[in-house]
Amino acid sequence: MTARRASASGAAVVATWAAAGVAAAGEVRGAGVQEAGELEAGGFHPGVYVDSVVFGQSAAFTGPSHELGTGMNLGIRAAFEEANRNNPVFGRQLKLRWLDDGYEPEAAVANSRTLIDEGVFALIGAVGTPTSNAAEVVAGAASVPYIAPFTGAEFLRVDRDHVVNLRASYFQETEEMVERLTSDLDTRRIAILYQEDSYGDAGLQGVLGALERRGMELVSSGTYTRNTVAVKRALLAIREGNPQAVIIVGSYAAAAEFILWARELGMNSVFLNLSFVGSNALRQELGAEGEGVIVTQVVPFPLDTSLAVVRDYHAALRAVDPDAEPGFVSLEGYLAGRFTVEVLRRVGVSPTRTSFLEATRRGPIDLGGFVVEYGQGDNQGSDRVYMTEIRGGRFVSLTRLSR
Amino acid sequence: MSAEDSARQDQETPSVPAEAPAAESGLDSMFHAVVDRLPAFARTRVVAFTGGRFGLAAQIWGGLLAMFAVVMVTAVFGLGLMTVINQRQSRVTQAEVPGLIASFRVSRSAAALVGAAPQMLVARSPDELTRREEEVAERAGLLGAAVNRVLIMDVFGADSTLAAPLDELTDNLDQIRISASLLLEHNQQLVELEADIGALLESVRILLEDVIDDQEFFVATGFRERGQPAASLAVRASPAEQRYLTNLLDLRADVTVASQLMLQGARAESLPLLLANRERAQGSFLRINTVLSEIRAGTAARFRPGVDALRALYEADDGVFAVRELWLRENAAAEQILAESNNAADQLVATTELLVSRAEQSTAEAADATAALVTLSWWLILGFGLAASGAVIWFGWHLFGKRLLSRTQHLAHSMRQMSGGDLEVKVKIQGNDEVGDMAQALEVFRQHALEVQRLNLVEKLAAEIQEKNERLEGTLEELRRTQQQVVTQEKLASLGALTAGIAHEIRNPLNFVNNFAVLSVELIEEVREELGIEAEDDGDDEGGEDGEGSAGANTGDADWEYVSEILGDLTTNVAKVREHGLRANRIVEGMLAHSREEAGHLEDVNVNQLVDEYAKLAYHGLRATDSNFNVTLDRQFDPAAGNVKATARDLSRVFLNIVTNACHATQARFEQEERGTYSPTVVLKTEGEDDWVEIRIRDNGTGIPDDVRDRIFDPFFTTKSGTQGTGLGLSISHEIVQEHGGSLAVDTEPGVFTEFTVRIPRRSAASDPAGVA
Repeated sequence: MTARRASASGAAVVATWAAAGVAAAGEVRGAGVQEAGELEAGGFHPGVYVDSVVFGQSAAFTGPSHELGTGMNLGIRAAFEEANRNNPVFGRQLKLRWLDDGYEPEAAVANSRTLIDEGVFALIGAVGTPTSNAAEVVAGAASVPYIAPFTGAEFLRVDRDHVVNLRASYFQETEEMVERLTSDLDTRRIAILYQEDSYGDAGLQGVLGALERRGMELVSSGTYTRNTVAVKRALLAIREGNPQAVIIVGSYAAAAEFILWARELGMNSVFLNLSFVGSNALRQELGAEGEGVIVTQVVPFPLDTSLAVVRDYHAALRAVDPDAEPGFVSLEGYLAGRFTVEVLRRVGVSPTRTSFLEATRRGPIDLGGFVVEYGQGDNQGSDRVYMTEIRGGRFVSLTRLSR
Repeated sequence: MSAEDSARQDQETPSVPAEAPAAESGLDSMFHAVVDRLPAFARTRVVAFTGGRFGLAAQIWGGLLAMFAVVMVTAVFGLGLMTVINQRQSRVTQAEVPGLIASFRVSRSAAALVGAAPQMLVARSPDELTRREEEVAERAGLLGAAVNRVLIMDVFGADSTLAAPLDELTDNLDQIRISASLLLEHNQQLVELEADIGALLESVRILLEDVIDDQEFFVATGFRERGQPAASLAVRASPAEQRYLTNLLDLRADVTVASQLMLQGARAESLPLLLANRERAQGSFLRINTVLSEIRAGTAARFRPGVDALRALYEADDGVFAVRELWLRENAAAEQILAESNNAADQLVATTELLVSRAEQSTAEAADATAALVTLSWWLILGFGLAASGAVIWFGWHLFGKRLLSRTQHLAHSMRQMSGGDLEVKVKIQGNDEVGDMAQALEVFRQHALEVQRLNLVEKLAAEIQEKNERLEGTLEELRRTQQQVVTQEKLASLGALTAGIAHEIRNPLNFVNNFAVLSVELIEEVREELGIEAEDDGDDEGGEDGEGSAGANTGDADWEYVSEILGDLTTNVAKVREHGLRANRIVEGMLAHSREEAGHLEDVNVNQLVDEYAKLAYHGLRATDSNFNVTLDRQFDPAAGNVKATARDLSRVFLNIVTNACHATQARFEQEERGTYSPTVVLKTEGEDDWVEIRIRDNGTGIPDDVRDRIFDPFFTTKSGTQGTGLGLSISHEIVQEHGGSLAVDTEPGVFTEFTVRIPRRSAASDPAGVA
């Protein structure tokens, strides 16, 4: 009964989004359908055509987390078009077909099914833990690679051979947060705000684990409902614990609401956000109040042009959208796309889903200074966690925290 | 067969007894009776083939035909049974079994159709419904076909009892199909409604969460908007604010409850349940209205679209409860029809099952009948098979075993006996066929053979008699010869006795002659002395006349000389008388010794002298009888031969014999050869050794033929005619030499020479002949 309802509501969301008129989605869809005949004639692997390889993305393009979906989408497309333009992978154009799931698991499942049925080679750039939690199962059942989901949830990193994680896990992010807090600031009182879903739970477990390893406990905690900014009751609960630092496991809207009201109430705790929060959106929401807010990142600082991959990213981004500003999410999307391109080059002229997954485990892949490496039982490419802080309305890179 | 029988049989002429046992003649007459009844052309052929009698060919072919007939009868009978069984079986397989199968098909198709029909009602999508409908249509088609088949076959008296339920079933299925499509439509509506309800609930709740969060925060802190100062406790904790918060919480609860009731209503399985849900939902909506009217208009306006939409889904004609009610009613109707269909199908199945049971019974009966027939056939075929086997064995035993085999064996036995020489046993003759012919022929052969045997016996006896006659004649001849020999021997013996007598008589006068010759010589000497005439040299007695003639000087004149001369001649003459007298005396002595047959005594015998003396005697003996005889005696005496210890008288006979034979041989050859070229010679050669003396007597006479040579030492064997020899010479010689411990050997070449070699030990190792004498 629940599934029936969910799928129906997911379909409704897609319909809504399609009606909004995202032209690019229509184009990609058209291309995929058009080449289906050639696929059958050529006998290629699903999603692999004579002159193209089609990938699918189900992510939030609407709702409070839509910046994550669009950012990932932008970055992936930038990387694909960079490859298509400069050096096509065995003469094939890489194409991306995407559908909006509004950060709802039911829609994510329906979208993933649709994309797989329509014949994408792999799913890439999904956004969110609850959505990935559901959609990954669909991909796994069809043995479709599930590339670089925008989540650090632990369950995607255990016994999931078809999942190819790019980024460090939430556990690693929370560990880094707690480590920095305890060692750099000698913080003893830590509270947590987390979303009432699997993402929030992943963050909570990460924090609890990190604290437990240090013999500490949470001083207070609060929750809020997904897709709302109803965080103020949680704020009251958290404030009860008088925390020195609050780790926020949520989306940028709720996080911003929380931080703003906390500041309003005169709390001077350190606010730390997971990468998933959507850094740029958070910064914009917070405005001047964002000063001192910490965000852990799993990709390099997007303005650090000392890295070759960041320079490439800037160029690729401009080529796709001259007005786009570099950001953490689109950089992660770019890295995901770039990674996919490199693996496809490794696989050879006749890629299959299996050979693609195998190719990821064939030694380290250097994406221009950002190195990922996979192995047997290790489906996470990077373990890097970067600390950033909003200062003067901009993100700066940190190596340690300071007051 | 006893000897008496065989004797009688022997006396019979070899005619064939024409006796035949009664059984044979019975078969024979049966055969003739059968042949006589045959059509003319067949009869001539049968008669030509069988020779007009129940012979071997007729027997064998008749037997084979009989066996063939028995086997054929069995086979035809079996075939007939098989045909009957096959007919029965085919009736079962062509009528009963297909009918049975068709009936089963009806039953099965009906069950399948009734099972498939409800599936239409639970179809969840148009595609699925279409699929189910096609499936049902297909099964309905199968059922119709099966029923038609049963009706067409009309094997079990199937009638309209089958057609009626089928028609009903078909009508019902159409109705169910319509109901199913309606139900599906309603279902889809309900699904959409559920989704819409869920989405509306979610959107209203999300709105509510933020509002409730704001209000709770305000009540707790007094902050409503950032940047504004906090409201006082009196304001934030006022009953109005509290009431507002309570209303918001009530609104959330009621919206949730209403939504849940609507969702439950969409799934309600009965109309009362649906109505109850509707009632409760109505209550929720009334409370929601109350709350919305109480809360601030601005806030209420935010919720109103969602709430109104939700209410529309609740109360509209195409709302969730209305649609569900339609669904339930339609479903109930469909289930009613389904139940009717089930009844119709049950009826159909029952009818077909009746048909099936009837068919089964019919089939079972047919099968039982067939089985019984098969069993009967089995026994019958077994019986016929046994009968046929018995007949074949009887034919085989009677014809081959009894009639042919035993008689042929008897025939073979008789032949073996005959070939083994037993011709006495009579051959038994049975039957008027080839074996009988052979037995008759064999009997004839046997009697002929007996005849031939008898003739052979007479011939053999005649030959034996002739042989005996010849032998008798030979014996007679032998007897005659022996008689002659005996006569000759007798003659010789009497001659010996005569010779002894004569010798004895002659010896006395010879003594006188000799003695007086000696006296005469003395007297002449006295005369000479008286006359003074010197005797001439008379030392040479043998010197002949030349030594005499010298007269004494005293007389000196012619007269004296003449007297002397006469005296000389007289002396010579007297000497000759004496000499020959002595010689005659010796001969007589020898004759006496030879005839006396007395054993001599051992003495020293001079071999050379003995050989010389008896060679001369032989020579002169032969010269005396034949003046033409001449031979050269070549003496090659070895002075070392010396003496041997021997019986001179016996040994002399040996040499006399051998030399005489040698002379005869040379004489024989001399008479055969031309004169002048042949010089008859007998070589006498002695050779002395320390212990032995060897004497070889070799002549160049006729030699001895090989066939004679082996027998020359046999007594009475001689090559000379009747009177010439006794055949004892060499035999006696051989004995004498052996008595002396020596050996006598002969070497000869016919026409060239014969050489006898006598070896005698110096001191005879033989028993002393003197001791024997």
